[in-house]
Amino acid sequence: MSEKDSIQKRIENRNLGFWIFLGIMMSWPIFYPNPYYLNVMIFTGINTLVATGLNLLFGYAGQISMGHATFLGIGAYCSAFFTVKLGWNPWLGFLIGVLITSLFSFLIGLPSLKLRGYYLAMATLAFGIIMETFFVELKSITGGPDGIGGIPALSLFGFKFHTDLRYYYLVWVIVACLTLLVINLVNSRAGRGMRALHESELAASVLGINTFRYKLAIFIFSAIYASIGGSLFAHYITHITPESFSIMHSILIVVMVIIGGMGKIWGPLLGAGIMTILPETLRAFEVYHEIAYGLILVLIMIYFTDGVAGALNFVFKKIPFFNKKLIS
Amino acid sequence: METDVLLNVTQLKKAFGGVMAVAGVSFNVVHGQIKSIIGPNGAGKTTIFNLISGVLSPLSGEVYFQNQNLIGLSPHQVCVMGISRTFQNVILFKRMTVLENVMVGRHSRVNTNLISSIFRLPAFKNTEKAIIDKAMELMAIVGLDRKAFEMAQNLPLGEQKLLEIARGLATDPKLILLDEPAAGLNTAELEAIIRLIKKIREKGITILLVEHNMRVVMDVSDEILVLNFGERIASGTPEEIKGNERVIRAYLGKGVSFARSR
Repeated sequence: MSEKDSIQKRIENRNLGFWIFLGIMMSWPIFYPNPYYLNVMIFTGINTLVATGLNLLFGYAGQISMGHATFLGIGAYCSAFFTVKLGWNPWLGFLIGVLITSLFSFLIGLPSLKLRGYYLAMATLAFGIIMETFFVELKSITGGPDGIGGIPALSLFGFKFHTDLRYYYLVWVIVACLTLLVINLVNSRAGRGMRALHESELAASVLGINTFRYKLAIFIFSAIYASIGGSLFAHYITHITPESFSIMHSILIVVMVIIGGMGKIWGPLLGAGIMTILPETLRAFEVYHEIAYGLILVLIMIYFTDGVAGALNFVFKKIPFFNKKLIS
Repeated sequence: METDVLLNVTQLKKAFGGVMAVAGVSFNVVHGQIKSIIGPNGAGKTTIFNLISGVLSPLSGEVYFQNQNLIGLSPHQVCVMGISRTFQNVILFKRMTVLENVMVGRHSRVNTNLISSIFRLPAFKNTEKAIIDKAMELMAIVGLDRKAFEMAQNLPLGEQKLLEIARGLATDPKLILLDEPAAGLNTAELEAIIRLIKKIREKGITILLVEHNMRVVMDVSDEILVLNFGERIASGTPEEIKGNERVIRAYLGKGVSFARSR
């Protein structure tokens, strides 16, 4: 009996790292409220959210999407359109963004998730290119290449999120909540199902898992994360243009997941952190900063094949205290 | 008599390109028995497993399980009906732990909705505990309960095979299809597999076995079906098969008996 209890505990215990992380993220601005750092960390938070969603699809379920910036765009444009052009409540725009994203991802996922590997990558890439064109050409809704400006700040029960500090907390509370959902999801029946189909669709289906339904559900789930990220992005920078949702951004999200560590809870956070903060810190190198940036990414890929999270996992495993408590 | 038939296969045919892999095979599996399918390489044994489990669809023929037609069902639906299987080349979820592998097997037998699992509601915790208990029980049966947190890929082949069987049993099957469970095992592991197969039968689970190792086949089988080039060449009890002239010819060439080859 005691053995069974310890098994349960050992499984439950993995969230400790999450709470430590949450404590750090929530407390540092109190001691050091530097507006520039807050700004960078807000973008890091939004990127973390989007990468966390993609990690679920790509890292855990093994299905690539090369068009994830599209869903970011749908969320952002819904928020912008319904608040600026129709004057609706921002949260309604948020919600409509999520609903439209769900619909789009369902319709795209239905045919394309029958494909595998490179072919799935091609299909989602094509979808991204088509939608990018729509963002530019559908001027009546998206404002064309000029985009939409004057997006109002979010507010909740009269509390306005118009300063960076407030927005920082809003973003990171959302990131924390949605990360916790992913942690819970991954360690549940559905999560085991999707990790199983990643490793072998054949074995998973023989064990009673409806693999196609799972892939579709996770595709929609991860698109919703991108949509929420898009809405947060729109309300923060207040002026959106199609470039933010291009194919290049889709690729950037994929790179975040890979650099951070596929199929690791902390992967997207580390990946988004590196990909957002690194270009900022490398400004000291002036014209050489892109070379330094590229070099660092190449070195990470060569030496940390499991991403940065994989490397940290390896280090933590050597420390007895963390060994059983932090690794997930 | 008819009610005892768990699985009924009639005139099953499957071709790959121009090659008839399974050329009209018919057989019954009676409830509670251990039935073996043997035959030289390429005789169509694994193909029959793939056809029954819904991985492949047949050219023609019928498969009835408990008087329900299985043709046209997808693998996960066949699993829900009560048929589980293992694979010849052992397909585990390598980067998941031993425990998690078996827990995946419970998938079709529990129903936690997404909401209760992502918000960790009490309903989730209870089912999760039930899944773990069941998984631990099955791991104890195959003797892997001490390795619950090991990655499946780190197990030696013998234990990987045991794990795959435990995972298959986790789906609460009425019939389990074992595809060469003894291939590549050493003598000690062989004994363990034989004991396990008998133990599974004692639990009331019917077994359909594909195996090349005659020691295992002759020891555990109630009935043996012999295939060659996709066709049945003999069937009967182990004693009958051992003396069957066509079987000996197909397997070993003329004039050698099983008694001597052992």
